[in-house]
Amino acid sequence: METPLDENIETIKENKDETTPIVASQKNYVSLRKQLLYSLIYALGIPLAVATFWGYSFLEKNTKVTIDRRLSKKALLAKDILSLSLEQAATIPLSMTSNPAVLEAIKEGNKKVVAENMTALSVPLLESNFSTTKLLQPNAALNNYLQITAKNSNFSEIFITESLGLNVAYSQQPSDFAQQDEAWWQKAKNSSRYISDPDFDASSNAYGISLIQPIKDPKTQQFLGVIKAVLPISYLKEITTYYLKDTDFFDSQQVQVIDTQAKKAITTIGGAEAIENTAIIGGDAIARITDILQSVSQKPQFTPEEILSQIPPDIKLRKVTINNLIAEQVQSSPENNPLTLSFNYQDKKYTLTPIPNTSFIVAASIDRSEVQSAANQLLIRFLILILSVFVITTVVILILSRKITNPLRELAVKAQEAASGNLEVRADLIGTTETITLAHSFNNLVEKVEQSIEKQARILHNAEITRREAVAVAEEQQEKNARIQQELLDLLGDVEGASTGDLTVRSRISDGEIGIVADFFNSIIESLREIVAQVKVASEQVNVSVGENQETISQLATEASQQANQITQTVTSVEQITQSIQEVAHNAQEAAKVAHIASNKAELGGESMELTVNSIKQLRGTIDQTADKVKSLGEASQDISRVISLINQIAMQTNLLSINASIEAARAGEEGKGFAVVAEEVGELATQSSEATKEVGSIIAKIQTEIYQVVEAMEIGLSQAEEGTQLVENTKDSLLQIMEVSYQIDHLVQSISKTTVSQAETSQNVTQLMEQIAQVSEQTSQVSQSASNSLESTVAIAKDLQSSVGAFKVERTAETTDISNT
Amino acid sequence: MTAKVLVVDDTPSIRELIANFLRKSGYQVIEANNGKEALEKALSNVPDIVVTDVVMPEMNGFELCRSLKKNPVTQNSRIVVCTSKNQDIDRLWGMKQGADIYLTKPFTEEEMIEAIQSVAV
Repeated sequence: METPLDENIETIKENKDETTPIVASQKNYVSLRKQLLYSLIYALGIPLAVATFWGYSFLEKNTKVTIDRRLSKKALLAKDILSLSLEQAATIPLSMTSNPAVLEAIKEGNKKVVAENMTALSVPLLESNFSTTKLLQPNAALNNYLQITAKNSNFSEIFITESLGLNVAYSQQPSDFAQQDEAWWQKAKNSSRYISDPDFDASSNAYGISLIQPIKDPKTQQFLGVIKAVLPISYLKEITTYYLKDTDFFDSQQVQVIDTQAKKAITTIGGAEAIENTAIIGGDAIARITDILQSVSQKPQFTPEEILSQIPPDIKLRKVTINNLIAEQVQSSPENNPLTLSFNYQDKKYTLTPIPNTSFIVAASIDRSEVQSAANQLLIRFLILILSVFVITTVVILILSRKITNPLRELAVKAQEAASGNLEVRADLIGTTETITLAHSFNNLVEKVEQSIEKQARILHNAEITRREAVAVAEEQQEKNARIQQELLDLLGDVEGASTGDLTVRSRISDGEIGIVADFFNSIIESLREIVAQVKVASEQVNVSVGENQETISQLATEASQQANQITQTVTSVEQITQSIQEVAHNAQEAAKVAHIASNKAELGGESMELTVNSIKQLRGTIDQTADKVKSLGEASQDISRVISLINQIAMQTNLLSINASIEAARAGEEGKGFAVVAEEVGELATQSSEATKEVGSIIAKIQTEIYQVVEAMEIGLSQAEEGTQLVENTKDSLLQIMEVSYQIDHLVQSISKTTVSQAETSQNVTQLMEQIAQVSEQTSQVSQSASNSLESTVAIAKDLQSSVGAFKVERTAETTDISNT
Repeated sequence: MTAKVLVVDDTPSIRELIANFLRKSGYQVIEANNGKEALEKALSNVPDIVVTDVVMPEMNGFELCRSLKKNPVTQNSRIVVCTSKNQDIDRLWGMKQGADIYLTKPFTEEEMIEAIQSVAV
């Protein structure tokens, strides 16, 4: 009975593990302690962080303000020390103005001046007169008094002049006797007391400030003289250092008293002691700002804008604050409301304040990094404090939570043990009332569970028997499956070859369940074998027949391409012929043109010939007419010679008459004498006429000879003209013949031209036809080529098919061949 | 004329048993050890009836059926399949391969004779 029970418990354990995985659940839930801690972080941590942040920002600001204030205070302290020292020093000369001995000495001096009429003397003369003593009249007691006072009050020198500026008394001998030419003296004479700018005093051989005090008659307020007391800068330096050195300084904090006239620091106090440094901290920029502050503070009234507007834009100041610039307040009580200018420049923080009535500015400076580090230190302290509060609180919470959770944890461990199967476990009744109650309830629960498990175990036992039976059936089923699988494996092994093309495989049929499937495979493979065998035969046949065709077609293709080539050549020749025919036509046309021109020329020649013949004919006519005229001229000359011979006869008769007349005259003597002269004269004339007629006769004979010659020439010309006419006629005939011939040529050539044109057209047509033929034969060639190509590819495909089919193995033995063939 | 019966079985005892039954009933019996041998003998002798087992080496009974039906010489021979494969699918397949009678082992003499007679006409 025990064994099944144990098994049952184990089953329950398993079930429990499956349904309630305790270990896993712990990861998903948060323990009480963690929960407390988380709440603590939210409840305490966040407010603390906020408080830290807020407190830090508040304190940081506060620290910075405090440091600022301390910086200003330091500057103001230095200012106060210096102003007070100066004020105090100024009281000494003031008190002297009411000293009777001083007044007496001045009055004595004035009297002496008046008595000796020194007002009229020039300064160099006065100087030379009193060069040894530099004193109007010796006054050892007063000199002694001044000496002691100077020593006690830290003055380097004190001296007194009367109303003309001549020395009356001194603590030590000054460089000059007459002071009326000095600027300070004239200023003192015209106004009240004042403090001069720092200067080097030759007589006291020291760098110092002069306190100038005019002396007036207490009763009449008449100007009597001047007291000058020189306070050395070294004293101011000393006193400033003395008072400041014990005050609290930051490491980088420094206070400078700056002389704005000389643009240098008269003293620099940093930390505990004076530093020998005359350079202004912050350099030229700060020097310029001190200048501005000094000049503005001298005015009776000014505004913050006035200062700010004067600061050059190239000096970048930040966080500028100007204190106490309400003019009325400054006016009413300048001591209580001193002017301060605070700002950040580069890495330092500055506070400047002017010393009233002087050219001094006190400048206090501190490194900003030190201000920041002070704030940072504060932050660190604050953080440490917060962190320690947080840690302490956490520890307290942890201890408290442990106290509360420990009994609960113990109970939880017990519960887990029970859950993992140990039902013997019982919880201890410890801790608070709640945990004790909880433990008690847990114990009851475990007992109840134990009882119910026993009940369940019995039911499970019965179920187990049923389960075992089911297992047996399942095993049987499994065996059967394995058998079938083995059969399948055998079958696959048998037919595996088929997948790689071996169709000779066959599967062995078995007694098993799927034996029949094996035969089914056999039947399929048999069919495949037959098909493949048929395909093999067919592809071989295709291969052979295509191979035969291919040769023929490729031959055809070759021939077609040759034909195409030949036709192309023919086309070229025909084109050449066409071209020559066109040339012939062209030439013929040119010849026709030439013939036509010749014909035209011949026609023109004919016309000219006609004209020539006509003109020759006209010439002949003219010659005929001329011959006639010449003949009539010859006749006329013969008439002339007849007339001349008649004239000659007349002359001879006249001569005879004259001779007769002279004889008669001679017979008549004297009276006929005159008549004899006339007869003689007539005789002479007749002789002359006879001679003239003779001459005319010879001329005419000459003319007649020439006329005869002309007639002869004319006749020759006439015959020549006739010959010319004949020649021209002949030429005209030849030209006519030429014309006819050229007309014929023209006709012939034109007919040639027409013929060649039609020839050219014909040959053009032939060319086109030939080209068409060439294209057709080209196409034929291409088609036969592509047919050849397709056949080649067909052969390739057939070969591929053959090799693919060859992959199938169909023959194993002689017996199977029979099957494949049928 | 007595019918010629080819008995094919790779188990000699069963083959002998069938042969005896048939001889007793007056049939002429030819015996073959497996399908291949049976096909050769069928081609040479041309039996009227073939009685064959299914599970055999070299060539099984169904293959024999197909070969006989494919060959014109033997395609008219009647076929009786006699096997221990007794499932419906086996019977269906056997009839498809050309069997005329599908007889399952174990069988009685009467059953065998009756089957032969039914196909012998």
